[in-house]
Amino acid sequence: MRRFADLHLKIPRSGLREFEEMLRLASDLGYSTVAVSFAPSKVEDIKLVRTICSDLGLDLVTRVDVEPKSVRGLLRALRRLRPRFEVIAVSCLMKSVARQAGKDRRVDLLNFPTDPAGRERLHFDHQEAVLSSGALSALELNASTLLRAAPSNKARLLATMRREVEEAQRRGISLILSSGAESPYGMRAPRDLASLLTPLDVNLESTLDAVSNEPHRIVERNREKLKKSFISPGVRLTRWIGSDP
Amino acid sequence: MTPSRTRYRYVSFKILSTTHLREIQIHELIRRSILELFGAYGLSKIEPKIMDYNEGRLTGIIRCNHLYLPMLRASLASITAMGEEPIAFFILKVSGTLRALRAALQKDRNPPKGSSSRPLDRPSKP
Repeated sequence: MRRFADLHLKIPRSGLREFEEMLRLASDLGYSTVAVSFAPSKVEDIKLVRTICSDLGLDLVTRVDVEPKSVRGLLRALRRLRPRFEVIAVSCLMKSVARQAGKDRRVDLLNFPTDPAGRERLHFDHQEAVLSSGALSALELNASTLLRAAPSNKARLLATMRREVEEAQRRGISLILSSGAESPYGMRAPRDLASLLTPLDVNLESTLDAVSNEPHRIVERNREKLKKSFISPGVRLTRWIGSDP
Repeated sequence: MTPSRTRYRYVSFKILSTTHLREIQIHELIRRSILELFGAYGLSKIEPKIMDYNEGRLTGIIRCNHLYLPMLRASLASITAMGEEPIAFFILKVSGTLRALRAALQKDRNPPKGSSSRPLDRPSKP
């Protein structure tokens, strides 16, 4: 049986009370894993949300969204945040940042502008796909981007996203579909969320993978990396010989 | 050779909303959403039809052509507002026959003793 994950929930401005309802809804809708985007400075929120999630039987994944203004800023943020969060998503608002994020193995998810005009200018293109295929980053599509688009802009946005998806699939890059919800109204059941990829000509199996297998693969990989026994990909410390350091 | 008869899928849904919604409004919302995403051609293929609607519980059943179920799902998931009011559609169950779907929904409403609570059976207001 598939286990479903929503890798992008945002804590609403109204606070944790409404967010608890969102987590309850996620559990009712059949998600087993949710990733919540935290501000790096609010560590106390993580503890509170973790308690709520464990009560509901949800697996909480800590996520941080980085919106760097320069390549230097991106590198600094990655150095600081990688050991603290299980998933790192980079909002690529500049080409240079997108290129660096694409090739950096510390980046998990790539996000592109949400407005259709900005997305046409800066999207997941061929060069980005080539860089990402050598690293571990996945292309993340947020349902909120599609749901918030005005009817007049939807066609433009769908066209750009379709090109991005084709490029990602050609290079074997993981596709992640998240809700990006900030309220219960932005949430959808896993199969409903997956169906939003139908207008992008993605086959049914791949749409379901984008909300189940692919997100879980990223989370498991990163959890393994965050363990103290991790040394490098494929190398793990199993035991110390002699006295402990 | 005679063409095979059309097969349908019956989809039960629940709406998350704080406002009172009538069946005609739901019908119009669904029709508009399909037209926006897939156009008149898509609407003609999906053939959506509301079979049941409970205004109090904000739940209902829609019928669609079985080949175009993913398109109906995408259209329902794309509905975000009724006027200024935010709303959301959640698909609860899909079945090949209306009778089986009603039986499954009935079973969900009266779960056997000891089983967990019914999903999404909460007040409409989040």
